[in-house]
Amino acid sequence: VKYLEEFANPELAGRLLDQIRAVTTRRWALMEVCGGQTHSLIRHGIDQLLPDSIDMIHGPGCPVCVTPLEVIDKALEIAARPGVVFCSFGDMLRVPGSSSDLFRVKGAGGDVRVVYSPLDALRLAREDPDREVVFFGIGFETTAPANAMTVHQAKRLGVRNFSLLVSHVLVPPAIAAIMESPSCRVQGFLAAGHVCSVMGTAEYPPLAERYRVPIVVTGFEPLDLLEGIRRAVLQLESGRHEVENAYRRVVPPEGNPAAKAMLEDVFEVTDRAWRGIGVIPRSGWRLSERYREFDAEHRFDVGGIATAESSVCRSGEVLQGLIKPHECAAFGRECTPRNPLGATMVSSEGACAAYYQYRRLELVDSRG
Amino acid sequence: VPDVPVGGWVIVHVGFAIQHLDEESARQTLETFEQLGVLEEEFGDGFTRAARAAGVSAPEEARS
Repeated sequence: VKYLEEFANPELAGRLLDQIRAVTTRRWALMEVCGGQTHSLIRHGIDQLLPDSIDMIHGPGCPVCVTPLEVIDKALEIAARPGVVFCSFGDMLRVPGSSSDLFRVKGAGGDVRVVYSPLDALRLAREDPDREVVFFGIGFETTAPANAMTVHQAKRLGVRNFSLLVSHVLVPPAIAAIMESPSCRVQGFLAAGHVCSVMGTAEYPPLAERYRVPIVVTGFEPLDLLEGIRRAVLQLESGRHEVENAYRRVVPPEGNPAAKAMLEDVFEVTDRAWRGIGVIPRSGWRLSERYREFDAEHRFDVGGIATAESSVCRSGEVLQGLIKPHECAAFGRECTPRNPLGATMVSSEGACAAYYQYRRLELVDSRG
Repeated sequence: VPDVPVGGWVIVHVGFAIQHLDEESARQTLETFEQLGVLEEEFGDGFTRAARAAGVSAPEEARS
């Protein structure tokens, strides 16, 4: 693959680190919003290579982590019904609902299938017209166009037995919510590169202005992250708060206009509850009126679900950047990726899973 | 994603190409990284040089 190894070059990483050390004169707290970036930071040990005065706070950009418990419980209820084929990305299967998860529903006889694309689910629906195929459509602006396109295709092809259980979330309102929080320590953001590759960068200057924070759009490789951090620190040290694009090879300022047009057609903005955080106004997408017939919540009656979170799990605080994963007493003990108490331990984008995968020996040992 | 040339690279996510990878831009970014620190090597940073001359370890050397 081209331009992947190059962006992990150790010599260039050393230069970027030298620059960061040279310009840093005081303590700064930066948040990487995206869970993919959290994993990359921890995996490559970038947080440990940075000067101690730079604190990386891990953000809420893990789609399965913030999918509200109520929606997970609805998914479990729909998936358990006879005649339903419930399709999802794999990382959703172990996410705990109030009393079960999709794996257990599958174990009890529910037809739960892991797919790699919503198009796979649409294909299943066309192959098996007598069964109701439901796709669990979660994720940020990066994933939403694929789901929008799939629903659009379903409508165009007249596939009546396909529906989407939608819980899409949006990054800019989450940044605003983080900055509005009284306990907020964040002074600068690394914005999620692939979200911006779809949406472009126009939504961010008003946020940088209103909250006086630098926002640097970055990618996922070590050099991308280091360059994002370097630029954010440079801005902070010189008292600036601007939006910069450090991921130009993938993020044009306008994003992907075709994808944005599709999103506009299929979805509408709605208030959304974020697991562990609470309701953020106008922070999600649901299917628009024109596509309501493909809305699984509309098709299946799943109202009146009572939810119950684990009393031990502190994933809400992890998601808000208030604590690091290992500061939770359950981390690595009762709570592991095989038996997760919270969604942050499940996903390949969850902060707890990243710390467990790459740091558990040092963290659990040092805690004694 | 329209207008991707044959042989071009794209970012694929859940079965969809979401963006074209601009090779020229990738090359430029890497070139910028290559040049980072070169100016400093040539002209030196006054504080670091002074610190070195005084036998005090400069901040960026105190990294262990």
